[in-house]
Amino acid sequence: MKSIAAYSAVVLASITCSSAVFAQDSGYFGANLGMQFQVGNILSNRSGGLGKLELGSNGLTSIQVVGNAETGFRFGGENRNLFGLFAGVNAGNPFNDGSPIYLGAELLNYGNHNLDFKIESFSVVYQGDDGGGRQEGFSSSLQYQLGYAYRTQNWNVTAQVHDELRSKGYTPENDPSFLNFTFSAHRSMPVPQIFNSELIMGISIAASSSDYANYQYGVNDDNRYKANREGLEDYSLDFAASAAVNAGLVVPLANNWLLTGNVAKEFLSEDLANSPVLDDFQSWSASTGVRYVF
Amino acid sequence: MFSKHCLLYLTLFALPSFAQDGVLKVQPEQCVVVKEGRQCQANVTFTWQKNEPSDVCLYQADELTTPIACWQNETSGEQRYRFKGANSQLFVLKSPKSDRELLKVTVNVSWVYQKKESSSWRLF
Repeated sequence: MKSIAAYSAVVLASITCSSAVFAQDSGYFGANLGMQFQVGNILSNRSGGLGKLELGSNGLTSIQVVGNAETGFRFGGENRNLFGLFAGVNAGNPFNDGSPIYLGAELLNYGNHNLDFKIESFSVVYQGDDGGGRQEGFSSSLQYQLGYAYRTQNWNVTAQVHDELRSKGYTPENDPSFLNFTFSAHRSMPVPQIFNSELIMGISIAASSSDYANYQYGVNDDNRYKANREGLEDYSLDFAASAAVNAGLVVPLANNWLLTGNVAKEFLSEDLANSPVLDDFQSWSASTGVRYVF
Repeated sequence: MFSKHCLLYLTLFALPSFAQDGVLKVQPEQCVVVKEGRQCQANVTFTWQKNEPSDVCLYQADELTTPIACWQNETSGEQRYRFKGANSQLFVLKSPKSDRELLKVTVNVSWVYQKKESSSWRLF
């Protein structure tokens, strides 16, 4: 697996739209659609918000139609919306086969602070008596994410905790901890000398519990059915972490049109870098696109 | 619903200002930034024409003490200028000896994202 060069090229065209759908200044709708070409393991995409509907995938090289959409509304007055609801579709990346649909509640939107709770999946299963020691009856699982964001004209700082709650009997052997933490900070700076553009620089880090890391990036009997794992030997991780830095430029083309470009470099922790489903311990990616905003 | 787009456009006439005295134009007329409040910079070109030869100067309207350029006994002129501003700005052509503005033109500053983001859509 190490023979594949850890370079990535992403070609992305996106369309973004925004309008007051439900009532003045309280509703919104957003969507992204584009094409993406990728070679190498770019983990940042899992939190980068680019859902993917895969056209074809061959190991770590893939060409995909990417897209996601979200809509929602908020209650309350201007700049003090205290509660909102939203729903979205986001297919994740090739290495993350989580639920493509999510529902969320905006718990707090006060000034620059935003706190939300997102339900990513909820499942109920009935286990019959299989004679193998599994508990008979109904059990359930809830995957959720708690997110905080601080947004100003120049800063966008986010922190998210993802976890899964399982009722007794959902997993027979143990009670896995599917804990995943992400943090990102992005600074936007005007560069009027370069076509009145905005320079955006940022860092992001992610860390996962052992169970979650093994589910996503390990190879075992529970996840061998997933893509990229056929023929691979078992592999387990104690811990998974990654860090990325990126820089991008947003150039206004007209009142509603933006040209975007971004380069990123990502580093993986040792356990993650040695995973046979990933490629190397670091990778580059680049993307460009146009965006329409209304 | 769709308040942002419920605009009524009324176009009656498109007459240049002070059509009898001449015309003052600027290209490009618009300067676009990503976010409201950011300074916009652009190389613009002012061109003017009058019916009769005049002594005139081009000024930024809020800085009438320092002319951008002056012409003597001319019927037309052209001037390149480095525009910088976070808001739209008015430029005037007038006689250096008089307060009367002969011709006006505006360089408009617009933006893609409004400053108030609380009600705008989420960043994915």
